[in-house]
Parts: sequence; structure tokens; C-alpha cells
Amino acid sequence: MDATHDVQGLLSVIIPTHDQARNVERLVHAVKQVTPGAEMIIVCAGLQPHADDISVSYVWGAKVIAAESNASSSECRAIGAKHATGSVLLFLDERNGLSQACYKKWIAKVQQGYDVVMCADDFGQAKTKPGSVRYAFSFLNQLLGHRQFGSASLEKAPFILNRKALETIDFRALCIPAVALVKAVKKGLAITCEPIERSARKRLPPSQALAKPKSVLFEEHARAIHMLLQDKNERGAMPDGERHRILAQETGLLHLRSVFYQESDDKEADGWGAKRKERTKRIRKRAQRHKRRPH
Amino acid sequence: MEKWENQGRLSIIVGVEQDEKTVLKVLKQAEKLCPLEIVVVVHGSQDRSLEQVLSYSGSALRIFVYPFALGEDVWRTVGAREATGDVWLFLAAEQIVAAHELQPFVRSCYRGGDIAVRHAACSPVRVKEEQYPVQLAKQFLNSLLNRSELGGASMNDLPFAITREAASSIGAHYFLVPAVAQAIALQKELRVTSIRTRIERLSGKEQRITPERDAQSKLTDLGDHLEAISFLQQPDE
Repeated sequence: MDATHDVQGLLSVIIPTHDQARNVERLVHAVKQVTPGAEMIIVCAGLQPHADDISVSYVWGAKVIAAESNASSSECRAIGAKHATGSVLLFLDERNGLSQACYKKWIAKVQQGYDVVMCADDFGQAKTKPGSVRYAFSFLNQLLGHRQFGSASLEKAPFILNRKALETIDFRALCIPAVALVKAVKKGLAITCEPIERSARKRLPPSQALAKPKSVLFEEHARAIHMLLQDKNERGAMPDGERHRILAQETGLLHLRSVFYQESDDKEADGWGAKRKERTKRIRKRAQRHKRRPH
Repeated sequence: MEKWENQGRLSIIVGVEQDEKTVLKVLKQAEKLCPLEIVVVVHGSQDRSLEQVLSYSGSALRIFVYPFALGEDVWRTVGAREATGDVWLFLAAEQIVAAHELQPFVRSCYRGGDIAVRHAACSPVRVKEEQYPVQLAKQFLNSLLNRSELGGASMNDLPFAITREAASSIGAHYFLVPAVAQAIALQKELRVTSIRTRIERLSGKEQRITPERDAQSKLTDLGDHLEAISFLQQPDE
């Protein structure tokens, strides 16, 4: 039997999108072909909710949930996770689907016992210089002790969570993916990374409607790091370089030290290498005098 | 022309520990800038570094000698408290940088900059494995404070120059944790520029420091950056 059959029917696919998106229908059909029988949830930012305040409708066989117009993709994912009923939640990007082969690999990871499967990338191997955002992802992974994750992050779809992971980290935490990842690691969830095919990575430019400003993303990472350090100290239990910090509080007069004053010799002036230039000048003049002198 | 400006405005602060091989060369380069003063902080020196500094007669020196090691970067706070110039240039005695490579740092401060730090590229391909978390931390701290273009440039790395006003705005007592000082500087929107420079003869650290101590130093640097991030996360008082 196909390995993926075990989870089909228990699978929820969550796709954040916005009201201006054009490729949602195509994406839904493409995903349905790969994951037949899965619960499809589309969280649409900026979609007008129904008058009776029930913001759920059904289109193309998918549950469509309205979200606020300024909701980010991670906030949309958190809303989708709240409404999902499956035991495995697959979060996709509005731009990209997932091929059959790739999907099978990812689901196989869940069946192996992993609670979280993130998208691996080629951070560190690529010749191009990564952007500052990927450095932030990579830095957090380093601090979490998972250097091998590179710049993988719950900020980037696709990723998979099982029901246990969702309940452990709480769907609200998905609004701030960096915090969700810290929670997942602290709670000891089994996390792995799985690559996706190169062709799926670069189809469409990122949607500005759902994008988070970089400053917000960095701030969220700082919050996540701060949360990570709470169990230790403000330095993350790193050494302090044997600093005598008390000396910074006291005036120098109270320091146990000796003070010496040394007078200077003459200084060279007139630009860099003035002495050398002066010497060269003298030599040239002397040479000219020799030339002029009659033999 | 710049030398005349240096004579009236520049304080050079040098931290010396076990640097008998390099300290004289560093002082020689410092002297070439014709500064107003050179403040030397010798601490925990067990080799002939102090002897070398005391025997140096090239330039006016103010030497502060501590019989014990102050700990990483504490000399910066000590030196900053004693400096009297308008612009302060911090140098490590273990690292010889040619005078003409140092002047751009000072020049940047004369021309309206507040802090001039050394340019550092943060590339996962180029950086050594053990240095990488620290480089990421530097890059992250700059990005967090909306200065991604500074890359991995940091006050952690010497040389750097700072104006007296900027230093008093930060608080000299924060200089002992350079990452925190940088965080405060960027938070206060001081004008921080990065200067591309060539440091040809890195004769000190690589030769003298054991791998264990080097690893310890990296962890301290990482801890400094975590402290800076924690500092920024504290609610404003």
C-alpha cells in the first residue's frame, strides 16, 4: 500500500492567500491531485466575511476562511491551523504547490516519527550572498543547537506539523514562527528538514500582500531569542571573558593601578611619510646641482 | 593637513596584555598619526610588554598599568575614561595596522560620523566555521536595529573610532561589552559607518592564543551579542 494512504483523510492542507491572488484555483486543483481526500483550508486575507459574521465558506471543495486585510502569511497559517481537523497539517505557500514525489517524502518523515518537518535550503553552499533575513533564521537555528537546519524556518512554507506538535506549541504561536520554533525545540519535539525540488522554489515572486516587513521579522526573532535565554541568563550562559565589571562603576582613582606619563620626541608633520619625502627631495636637489655643475 | 587635526583632537587608546612582539610596532604606527595623546592600558601582562611600553620614547604616552587581567575589553572603558581628545581611536596591541589604514576611521569621525567600524563581510562560504555564530550574531544585531547594510561590522572588532559626544551618549561604562555599546549607538541612531581596511599583519592572536582560549573568546563574543539582544528587549524605563 502507498505510504501516503495512511495519512490521507487525516491530512489538512493550509494555504494562506489574499483577495487579489489569481492562482489560487489552479493551486487548489494542483494540490488536490497530489493529496486527494485531504482537507483543504484557504485563509484569505482581505476577503469580506459574511454578514452573519461566520467567515467560513466553501469554494472549489476547499474551506475558505476570511482574515483581516493586513494579516501576514503566518497569521493566516495560525488561523488555518485553528480550523484544521486533520492529524497532520501541511502548510503550503500560495505561490508553490508540492510535487507527488516530494509530498511522499515529506509524509514519510511524519511516519518516521517526526513532529515537525521544515523546508531545507542550500544556505552556506550557494554562491550568492544570502539576505539578512536568512541570516536571522540561521542565527536562531545556531542558538537552538540545530546548525544543520541552516536557514530553515517555520516562517517559510512548505512545512508540516502533526497534531501533537500543534497542541504543544499552540496554534497562536504560529503567528510568530520564530517563537513557535523555539517552543518546539524547548518542548523536545522531533524536528527535521527535507529539501523541496528546485523547480518549486522560484516560480513567482513573494506576495507583498502577505509579506511581513523585515523589521517585524527581526523583532520577532529577537523575542524568540529572549525567550530562549529565559532559562539561562541574559548571556545565554556564555562566558563573560573574566571581566571585572565592578571597575566600570568605580572612578579610576579607586583602581589598583600605576600611572606613568612619558614625554614625546619630535613628531613628523606635513603628511604621510614626510621624513622620507624630505630625504628624497634633498637627494634630488643634490643630483640636480651635480648636473648643473660644469665638468 | 590631517596630522595637524590629529595633533589637536585625536586620542589613541591601546589595550596591552601579552603583546611583547607587537606592541612597539603598534605604537610606532599610532605615533605616525601624530595624535594629541596615546593612552596605553597594560593589564595582567606577564611578558615584557610593560617594559617595552615604558622604554618607548617616540610619542607622549599615558600608561595605566594594572597588575591583574581586567577581563575582555574592560581596558576600553578604562581608556575611554582617561581620553581627552574629541575623537578616540581604539587599537589592539596584538594587531598591527598601518597608520594610513587607520586614518580613514578618524577621518570619518572628523567629517560628521559618530562611529567608524571595520567593514566585515558575513558570508557563510568565507567565514571560518567556529567564527560563524559570532558573525551571524553581528549581522543579526545590525539588522535588528535597521542597519543591515553594516553587515557583520561591529565595535567588537578593532580598530574603531568614535567621537567623544557619541561615547558620552552611549556611556563609557558600556564599552566593556562592545556589542551592547553598538546596540545603544544604533538605537540612538548615531551615524555609524563601516570602513574597508586591510589588516595585513595579524601577527598576534593567531600565533599566541591557544585554540581553547580562542574558542572561549568566540563564546564570549557570542554571549556579548546575546546580552545586547537581551538589553534591547528590556522594557524602556
